Amino acid sequence: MSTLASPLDRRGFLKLSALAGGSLFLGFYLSSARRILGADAIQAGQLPDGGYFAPDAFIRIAPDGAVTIFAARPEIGQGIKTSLPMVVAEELDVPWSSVTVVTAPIDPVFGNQSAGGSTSTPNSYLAMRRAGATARAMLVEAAARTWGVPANECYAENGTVFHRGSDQKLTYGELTAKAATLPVPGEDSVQLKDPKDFKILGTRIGGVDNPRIVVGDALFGIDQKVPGMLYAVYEKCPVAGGKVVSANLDEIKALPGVRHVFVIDGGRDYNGLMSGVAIVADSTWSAFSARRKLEVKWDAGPHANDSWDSFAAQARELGPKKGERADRDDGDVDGALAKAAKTVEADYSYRFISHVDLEPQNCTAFVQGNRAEIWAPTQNPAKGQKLVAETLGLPGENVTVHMTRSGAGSTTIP
Amino acid sequence: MAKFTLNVNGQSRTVDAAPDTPLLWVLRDHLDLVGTKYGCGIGQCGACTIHLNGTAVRSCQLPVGKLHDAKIVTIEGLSAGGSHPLQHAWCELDVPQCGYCQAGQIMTAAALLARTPQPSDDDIDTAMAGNLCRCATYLRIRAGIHRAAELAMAGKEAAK
Repeated sequence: MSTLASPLDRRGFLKLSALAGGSLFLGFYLSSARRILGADAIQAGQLPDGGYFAPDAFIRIAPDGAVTIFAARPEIGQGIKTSLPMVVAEELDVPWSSVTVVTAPIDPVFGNQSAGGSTSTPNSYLAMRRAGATARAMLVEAAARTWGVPANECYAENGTVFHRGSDQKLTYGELTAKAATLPVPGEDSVQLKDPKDFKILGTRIGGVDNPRIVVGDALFGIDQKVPGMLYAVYEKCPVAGGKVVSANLDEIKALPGVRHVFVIDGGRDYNGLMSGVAIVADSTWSAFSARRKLEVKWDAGPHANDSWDSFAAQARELGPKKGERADRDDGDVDGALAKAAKTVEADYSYRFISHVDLEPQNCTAFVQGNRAEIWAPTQNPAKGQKLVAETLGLPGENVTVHMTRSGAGSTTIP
Repeated sequence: MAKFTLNVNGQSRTVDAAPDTPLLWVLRDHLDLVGTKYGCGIGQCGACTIHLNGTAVRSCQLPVGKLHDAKIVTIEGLSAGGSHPLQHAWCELDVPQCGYCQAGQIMTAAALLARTPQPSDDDIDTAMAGNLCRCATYLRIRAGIHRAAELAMAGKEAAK
């Protein structure tokens, strides 16, 4: 399974422990950490390092039986922050009520952390089952060793390990210390549940953030704040690849609340920062008001005359020609068409559709010295981290990106 | 810039802002009440809906300089601890998908239930027509409003 660093080694666990309990969370502003993770998770003492059983990157079990499951993929309305932890909890065999779901930091130990193309569930399903089942196997083993009986005489159910031959039982919480000393079994040796025994999967469980969504908690990218922060808007060239020639920067700089205004040349990467004018102000409204008075002279560049009609004409011209490269070439199309009783020919086209998510594109950044911390409603946080590091010329490890909920995304919009 | 004293969620709050600043940004930037969402800024999406003297309105279209002592209620002040029947119903029926529009949906629905405690589908569709949801949770929103009406009725019966 390529989406999970597996089998997860001790180094990975230690690394994650350090991430979650030490340096990274200290790097958070506590207020923002509370915003994203929820005050409950922090106050319950589940995040600070100490005393819990962390069999793999996704699971923590505290001595009091509280289970923390990390949600590693961006939540964009597809429900993945709830559904993948459900998969883990199913194989771990714990009551859903004992589970707290916490958004994972961005780290390779969590495997692929993007969301797109409806791939999160198919690509993570087996890995999440194995993560849960591995932890369950270790807890069963810990109980068996405690009782001095073979592990195959023991079984786990609802957060407790039972011995078939006696009335002995131990809760997962009671087993954490012992389980933490055991070697992590190889993923292939771990027995997954028979789906007919599923208790959580297949049931209707509400989104884990629902209670916070309905009271207006600060869950989304646009809701994040750092102390003393400024607000920026960016006027990009309306044509991809175009450039700023000039702008009325002096006039804008003199407007109320405006702190800075400057031209950004931008790069050549169409996924990166393109040329435009940035206005930085002391409030969103100051920035918006200034932008309305911004006058930019653009050099629209090589794509100035691109249009839907020209793309459609180009497609009509290229369509019948043989391509330079075949992505797929199997079967005998010409032969089949020649033998067909009836052939039908048609052209299909679909216009560009903008995602226009309800949450406008945004991110919050805290830059200090050669470190940058970013909060963003992104579908691809790891790629964003790389892009920020390259754009700012910072070492990759000095850039931290935090996932937030996203006010929709490409895959959730009908 | 000027000082304005507003009545927000039952509290008196003073802010220093340009008089044309929309209430939306006073709530979000100045008062850190970020439950009220910015979607379009032109009164077309409903994400920024709040109650002004009990009526559901778009906060992106309300300059702070014109509010005076109007009673402002945001999603954060709709109920104590998320106890409004709509908030219960939204969780019970798992209404949110991405969740971004839902504060606005709930505020519009709360104003509807306050004047029409047992709304029909038509009442709901008419009242909610201005609140967009890009995930298209409309059917669940309608069911959530009916469920909230039931919960509110049951609560009243129990209180008798």
